[in-house]
Amino acid sequence: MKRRLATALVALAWLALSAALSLGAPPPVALASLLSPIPLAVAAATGLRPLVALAFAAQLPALVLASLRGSLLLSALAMLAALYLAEVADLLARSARLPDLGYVREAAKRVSAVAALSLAVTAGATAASEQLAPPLDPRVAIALLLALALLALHWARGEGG
Amino acid sequence: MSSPRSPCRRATRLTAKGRLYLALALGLLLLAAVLENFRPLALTVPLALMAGFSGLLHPKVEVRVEREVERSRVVAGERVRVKLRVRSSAPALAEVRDRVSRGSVVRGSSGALALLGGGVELEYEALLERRGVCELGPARVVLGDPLRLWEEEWVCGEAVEVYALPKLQAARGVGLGASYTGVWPGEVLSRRSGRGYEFYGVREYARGDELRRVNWKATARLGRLMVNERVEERVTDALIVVDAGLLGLLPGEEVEGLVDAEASLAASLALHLLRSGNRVGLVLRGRESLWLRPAFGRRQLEAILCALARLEPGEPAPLDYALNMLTPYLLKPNAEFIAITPLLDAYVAESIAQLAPRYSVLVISPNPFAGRRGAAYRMLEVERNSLMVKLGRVCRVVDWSPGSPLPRAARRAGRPKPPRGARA
Repeated sequence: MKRRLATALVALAWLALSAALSLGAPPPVALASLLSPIPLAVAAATGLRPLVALAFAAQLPALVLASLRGSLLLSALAMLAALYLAEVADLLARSARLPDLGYVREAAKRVSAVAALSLAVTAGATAASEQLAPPLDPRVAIALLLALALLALHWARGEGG
Repeated sequence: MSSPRSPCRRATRLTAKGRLYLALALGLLLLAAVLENFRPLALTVPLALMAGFSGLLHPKVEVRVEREVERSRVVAGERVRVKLRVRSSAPALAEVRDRVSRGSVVRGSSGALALLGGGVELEYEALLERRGVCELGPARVVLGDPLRLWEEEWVCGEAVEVYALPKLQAARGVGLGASYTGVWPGEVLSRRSGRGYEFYGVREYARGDELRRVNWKATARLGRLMVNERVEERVTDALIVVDAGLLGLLPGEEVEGLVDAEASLAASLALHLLRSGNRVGLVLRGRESLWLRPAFGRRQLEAILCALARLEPGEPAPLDYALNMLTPYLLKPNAEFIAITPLLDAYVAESIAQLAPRYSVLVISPNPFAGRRGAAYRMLEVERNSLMVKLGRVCRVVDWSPGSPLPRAARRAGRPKPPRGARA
């Protein structure tokens, strides 16, 4: 019962996000975004985790479009919301096939803590970047972030041994 | 029985989701570069922050696992109860899975998502429907960050082997025709007089003979006290050879069923013979060839049952090696040689026939074509029947349908024949 309620809430929240992102978007992008709650709900109910990735991929064009057209802060927050809802759906999917011995509640708390911390920093960082943006060369910013991503990859490989 | 605490092996790796996060970040960077517009970079900020904070919230823990298995020997079709205790040095979210290599989990679960801390206990029952060896463990405990972008897998404990032994069936009434006998009392007719049931001869009364053994007719005829002598029944040696080299002629599932029937029959015969005090050895011909020298007792029975549990059909070693090289090494002349084989090719029948002069040979042949229709099966059955007839001239052959009682089929085959060498 709790699982079904949680699945329904996540699907509704995702639908609300999709509706908000679809406003003013071209029809193909809007359609993909509005259909994305379906694989998300199926994944959470049945445990098929790859469907969460599919739902996020369907939402991504709308997110990118929102970042190109609208406020940076709002698009970053929308991305954060999408990531948080996808993580909750993934958690529900993981717990669909195995008995839960206190895992889901604690994991949901930790995911929410991560999202809350990210929200605080995102809001500050994007607001600051909007101030800084004009003097900063986009190519420099891209190069710096690419270097950061490659470092992260190198670290991840190192952790994996 | 508890498995001892053994150190856990640990491995850390990036998950598929972690790779997706990285791919998404790189994709957004590339998109910004292609469009020459930094606005999509704003989407990488929450991505990087979620990944970063998730990594920071993952504690360093040590994991310990203990497993308790109810018993390590069961009969096929029985259940085994397993308890798994997982402890960690700090509270951590983990996925716990215990490996069950065959059979199915029928009560409880062998895996769970758990919050480790003081200790978590998993209890489940595994049903081992078929004979074989089931490995329980090692247990896998997977810890990770809250978003599971990377995970730490702990593989703990050694696998515990649980033997599902073959089911037993009635095996009395088969009868042994060996002329080699040992010194202990048993059920095989020796060539000596003694305390038995079969009539041996009449002799003059000696002091100490029981009065109930007096033969009054002979006494009246000869005018002196005469007593009956019985044949001494003693133990013998028996070697059971199980042929599981059945490739090509039957579909896979039926081969498994037939080998199960052969293993069950061999186990029942071994139990019956060992209980009667005989020494019993075993030769298996299958994916792994194995042999056991004839011996007495409970330990020998356990070794035979465990060997039969491991028997799998497969590419066999040449049968004439098992019969011509191993048999003289394992079995005394004129002892009992029992072959359990479906007799699917002439080579097997010839190899067995060569042993008839030296041993008392009994062939029990499970019929793989019982109840089948089709011209091809009928032809194979005719060939098999012809082999049985040829073999029946030199030794006793029992045509047995798996599932039907063996003693009835054995009665149809007639009395045991002693070795041709012994008869001469």
